[in-house]
Amino acid sequence: MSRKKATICYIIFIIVVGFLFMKFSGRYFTPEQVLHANELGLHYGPSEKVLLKYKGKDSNMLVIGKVDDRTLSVIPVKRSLFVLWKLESGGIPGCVPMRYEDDRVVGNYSSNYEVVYGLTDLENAERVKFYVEHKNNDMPDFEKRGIYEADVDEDGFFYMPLEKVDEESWYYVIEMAVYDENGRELYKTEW
Amino acid sequence: MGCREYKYTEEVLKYVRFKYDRIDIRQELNEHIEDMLEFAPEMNEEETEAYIRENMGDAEALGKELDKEHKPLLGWIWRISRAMAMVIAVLCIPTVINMALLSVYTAHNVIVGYDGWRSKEGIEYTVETNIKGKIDDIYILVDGVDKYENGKMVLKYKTIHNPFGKSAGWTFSFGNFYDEFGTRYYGGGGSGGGYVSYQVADINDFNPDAQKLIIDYNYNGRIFYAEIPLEWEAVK
Repeated sequence: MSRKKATICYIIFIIVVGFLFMKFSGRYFTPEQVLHANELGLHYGPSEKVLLKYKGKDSNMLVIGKVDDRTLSVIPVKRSLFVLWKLESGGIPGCVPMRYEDDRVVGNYSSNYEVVYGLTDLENAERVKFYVEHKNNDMPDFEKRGIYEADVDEDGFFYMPLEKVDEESWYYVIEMAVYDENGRELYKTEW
Repeated sequence: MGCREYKYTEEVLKYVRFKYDRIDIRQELNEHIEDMLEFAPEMNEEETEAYIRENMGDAEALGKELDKEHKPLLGWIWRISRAMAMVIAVLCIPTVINMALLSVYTAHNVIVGYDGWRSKEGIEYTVETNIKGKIDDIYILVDGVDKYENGKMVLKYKTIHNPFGKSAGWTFSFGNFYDEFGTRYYGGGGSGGGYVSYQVADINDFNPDAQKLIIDYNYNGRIFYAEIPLEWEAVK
């Protein structure tokens, strides 16, 4: 076989087998593709916009998309084979909606990525304040850490890196308050 | 068998720019020269080189001709594509094994059907249906409902995941069911997994006066709605 023909065969092989390999092993070219494939797999979304690609340790990344004004999509991904991306093993937050109909803000803490993220659907929201509480098996009850503030962007999204206290604890974002540009409280929740 | 080195060959190779091909060309030329010298008279080294030149032609012309056949650009593309094809072939091995196991598991599910997930013992009545639907890349086929002596009902449905679809391969199951009076029933059960998954949903304490089982899946804009008239047929 001539070199030209052999090259064409190799390239066809790479495209076809490469496509099948990626399809059947859950690998994608970009973190966004992993996000959208898993949104469809979990039957929500797809996100209208990717709000944040937050780099974690090693080659991991937390991808956060906006499904609608009240719902986030949170998918952790990791690099694979240098140039591809796949879903990170372990639990995934997936669809993160505001819990109740009259809720106007939702906030979560990712202890793997040590970041607080959330969403509000209040139009004039500029800042949010919230506590993070944590508890491990040795603690009798949940303990509040200090109050934190984060800017809200034009999509109603906010995030803030926050180191965890210890590896064992589980964490919750609580007592969230949303403020406008004049510092006026627009909404407060205490869950 | 090792070949002798010939100055002629080395001179030809100077004109071949794609160095990775020089080894093969050297071997081929030397073998050709060896064959030719087999029938030549006994000669010293200088005479041999002159004899080779006389019979093989101008080294520069041959070298330039070979260079045209072994262009560096095509050579590099060929070499890289070959290496990539080999890497992809090796990378595919675990995926192929995984797919093979999943296919065997799927075949097992198809053979076993619903019997792997619900007992046939105690089924008194059954309703057969042929309701089809699709949610994202998953095709759903509702095959019917069995009713047991103790009143428990079991909904039987298959989910078929399109492996070439856009979605990642998560499983799917119905959670809640209703009767025509709006009472909600939680349908826990089991499923086989794989590309074709046989699933059952156990529905307990179903209202004996209800005449319909309603599947009303509505989650993030995905809708699957079906009313199953409970026109029971006795199981022999």
